[in-house]
Amino acid sequence: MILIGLAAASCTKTEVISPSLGTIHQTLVSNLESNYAFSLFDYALKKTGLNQVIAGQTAYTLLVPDNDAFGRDSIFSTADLDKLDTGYLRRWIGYHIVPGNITVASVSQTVNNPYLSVTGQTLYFSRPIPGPAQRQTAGIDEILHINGDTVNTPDISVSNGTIQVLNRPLRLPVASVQAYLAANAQYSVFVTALKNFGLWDQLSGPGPVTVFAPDNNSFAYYHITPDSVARMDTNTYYVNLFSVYVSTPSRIFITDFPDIGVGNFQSYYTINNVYSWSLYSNNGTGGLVDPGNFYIPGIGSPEPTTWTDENAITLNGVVQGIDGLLWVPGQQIK
Amino acid sequence: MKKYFAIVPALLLLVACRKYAEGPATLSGGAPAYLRVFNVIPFALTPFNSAGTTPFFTFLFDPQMDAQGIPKGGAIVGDFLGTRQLYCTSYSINEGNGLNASLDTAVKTAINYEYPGEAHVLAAPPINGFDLSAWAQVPSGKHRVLFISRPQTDTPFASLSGTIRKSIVIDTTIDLQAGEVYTLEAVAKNLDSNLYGAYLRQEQFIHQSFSDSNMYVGLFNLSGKPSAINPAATGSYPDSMDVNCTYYYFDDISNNANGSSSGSFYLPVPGFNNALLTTLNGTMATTTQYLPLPILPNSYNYDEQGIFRKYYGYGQGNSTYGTLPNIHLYFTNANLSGGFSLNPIEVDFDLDPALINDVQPYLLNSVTNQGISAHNNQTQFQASMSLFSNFTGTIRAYPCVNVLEIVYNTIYFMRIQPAFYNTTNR
Repeated sequence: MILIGLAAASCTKTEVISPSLGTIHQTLVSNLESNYAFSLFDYALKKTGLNQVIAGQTAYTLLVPDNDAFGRDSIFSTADLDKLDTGYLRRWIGYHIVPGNITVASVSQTVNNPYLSVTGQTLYFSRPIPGPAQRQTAGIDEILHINGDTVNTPDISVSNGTIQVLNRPLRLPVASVQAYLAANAQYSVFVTALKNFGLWDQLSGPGPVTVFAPDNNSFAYYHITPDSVARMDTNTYYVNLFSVYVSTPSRIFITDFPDIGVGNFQSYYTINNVYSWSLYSNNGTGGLVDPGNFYIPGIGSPEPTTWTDENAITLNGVVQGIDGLLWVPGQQIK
Repeated sequence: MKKYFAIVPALLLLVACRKYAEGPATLSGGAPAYLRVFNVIPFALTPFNSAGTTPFFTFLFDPQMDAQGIPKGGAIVGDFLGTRQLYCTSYSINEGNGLNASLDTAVKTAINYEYPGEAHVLAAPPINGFDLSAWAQVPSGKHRVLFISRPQTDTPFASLSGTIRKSIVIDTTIDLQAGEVYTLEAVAKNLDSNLYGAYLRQEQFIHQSFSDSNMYVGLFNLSGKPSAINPAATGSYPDSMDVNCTYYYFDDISNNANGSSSGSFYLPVPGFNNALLTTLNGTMATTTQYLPLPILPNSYNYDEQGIFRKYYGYGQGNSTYGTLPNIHLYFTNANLSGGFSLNPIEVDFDLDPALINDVQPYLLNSVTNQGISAHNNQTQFQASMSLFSNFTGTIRAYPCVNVLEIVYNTIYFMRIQPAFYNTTNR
């Protein structure tokens, strides 16, 4: 009889739940309050009154930049947060709150899955896609990227939601790619070029559009001034000279490259069907590209072109700042 | 006390008998039709076009919805449906492996290369002398089928989030006639605009007569609209193509004269030296002409010492040059003049069918292996077209129907073979 009992009991396996940073007995609010690493986010929530939004039984997912993450954006104390306009702070922090329980496993295994924050603005969740070109193999089921940002600690479950801990605070979307470029002086030469070649107006349209924006230093290296760009004759130069930086329809975050998986020396992408890019790993040794280790081989540049201003999200796309030109004018003469 | 000792083993035996859940003995609907399902959508996502689907699906036949209208299952659930293997047969080629088991060491999660594959379902009986046990019995009539993009994880479909379960990529209705054999494939229709669809082919080979002296080859082109910019379409087969054939046999005399170290020496079978086999026009055709290729006398398959010759050993050096008769097909764009001189796509059917699926498919295709620089003169390798069996005690070639399906730059091979257990084929 005992043996039968044992045999029967052995069929029932008790599910073991691994301990995590959060426990089911905590709420979103109590978890934030009890974790010093989240103190800046907790402060910002309370200051903006958004802590009331997440205080009930309704499930929310908090995308929490911990204090280290805020530090990467030069916010080190509550005093730094106090310097921000409260209205702006509320919109910014609100962008980090998403209705529902969003665990990594619940997100489709592809890039740029749209989710709406409580502010009504869209967030883009991405997961790596397994395959021969995928290099993020360790813990692949726990990797989550949001708007090109990395989730460092995924899936902290509490009784009324989930916390995803971000590597950096999310960037609040600005009105358009055009508005972003116009508002940032380091792109002024590029803006002049876009206007001169008739590429400017589309950047305020519905998109989505991704612009790889060379900064002013990229032009200065070749002694190209704002004045000389303005005087460039479009009858002399192909529009490809600058349309190469504009990709539409697309919304490309830098993490898309490792998440989709890019083979070194094998993958070619075309922007506006006019030019193929190849992306290489920094070590240049062949094989597959390491995640987070991309550069764009700027043609004629002294050094590989690298990302300088990553994942600047707008309502109609993304700006990715780069520090080199892909073509110099002499290569695009009609 | 003794009787308890008798009960325990009896209980254990009862428990041990139930190893897996069997498929339903009958499905509601009409008399059986026979269905096999593949996924041939290429992985075409790039950072510049990431809106396309990831070609890894759950296939639902007669789907069932939950209260929110989101699929939760179906009369048939073909889960973890990955890209089909380069070579398959008309029976379940991997039947010794468990359902969902990955046969690729690079794939760590559950995967099935087709439905039913290794699923424990009722299969088609031999029809027209062919073993069709890779086709599942399904009810005839009209049925809704869905292909839903799902993560490459071990989580079964029903346990996935609602967000994922509603990622329907293909939603269509198929009409199946009782007793007919159908092959259903998830295909890409346009990689640039991310359009996908279902291709359903009612197989003709069960209604045709074939000679025992030949093997047959039939070609289909299941490519979508050509894409100039997507890497997945690099080096694609043309929409209209001339298919030439060279049928080689091993030349022992030349080989002996030159020494085996310098390679292997083949001569073409008379009448099959770069001979035009057929012209293939258009895509997504559901019928084709099955073209005869002679089965050579069995002596061609044995060397001078009476030893069965070798398949070509891909990527294993000179020591594995093949010596068996083999067939090369050359595909040229029929709309361009110049014919054979125009850098054809060459497909060498000379690998061991038992081993070909052990090699990563992209390695067997010079375009996907070497990148865009190999755009011309691309070479691909496929399994030998000859069906060798020692069914009667001596290895010899048997008649078979070889179905070749072209999808952009890849060629898939499905061999329909005789039902050897059917005594009429002895």
